[in-house]
Amino acid sequence: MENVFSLLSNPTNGEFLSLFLKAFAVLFAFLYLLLTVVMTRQTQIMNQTFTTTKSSLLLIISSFQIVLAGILIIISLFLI
Amino acid sequence: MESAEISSDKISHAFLFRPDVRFSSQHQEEDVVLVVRQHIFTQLSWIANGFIFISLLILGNFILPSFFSINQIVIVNFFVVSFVISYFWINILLWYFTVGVVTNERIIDLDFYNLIYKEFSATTIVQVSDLTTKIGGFFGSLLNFGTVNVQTEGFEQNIEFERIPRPSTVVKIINNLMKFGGEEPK
Repeated sequence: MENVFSLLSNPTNGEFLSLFLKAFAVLFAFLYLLLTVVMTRQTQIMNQTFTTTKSSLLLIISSFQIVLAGILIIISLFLI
Repeated sequence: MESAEISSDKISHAFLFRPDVRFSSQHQEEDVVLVVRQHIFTQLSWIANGFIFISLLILGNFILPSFFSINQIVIVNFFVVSFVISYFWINILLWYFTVGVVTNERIIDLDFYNLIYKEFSATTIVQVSDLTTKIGGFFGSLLNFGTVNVQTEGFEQNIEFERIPRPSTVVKIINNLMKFGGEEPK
């Protein structure tokens, strides 16, 4: 928190950009997680409504994106 | 029409004759005769959009190094690619599950307009009063796709299969089912 105050009181272009990028990355990563959870849930509902031989594959691919969103959150929290 | 004459479109999965599928309100004695989806050509708009996003990202990679560090550029790339994957996937799901189903008892139109809104319309074969086929435009005529409108008697709902492949064959199949009371001629 102290770092944030010192950054705001004595900013340099690089630090501001980095903070800005990190804030947006974290926000978008969480929004993306929300989207992928909704997408996976909806895939389940779609599969129940209309079941084909590829239903499980579709669900696996949708679920994979939750993992992707988790990786994005970790990256945006720790690597920026 | 002999069943042997009709073949499924195994590559695009847009026209499936006697497929191995089930739907939520299917009756015990009800057999799925036909499943149709929009012609794959009609999906080119979102496929093109996805490639434009990727192209913009590649282009952006030449401009970004003057503003961001390598680490930050990799993360921006990771984000954009994830969003493009989801964009593709949402559109694939919407295309895959927006289907027209013809069974030996009913005609069903299942529409997913977006991830959270769906519409399910159905009518029985005996209620069908009129079938209309519309094939329009250069690509519709060239690639043989169009719209089949299933009208029912009175104020019952009308069902529309939009931009499906081989609309005339779909009409023939429904006509045969109407003629033989839901039983397909062998």
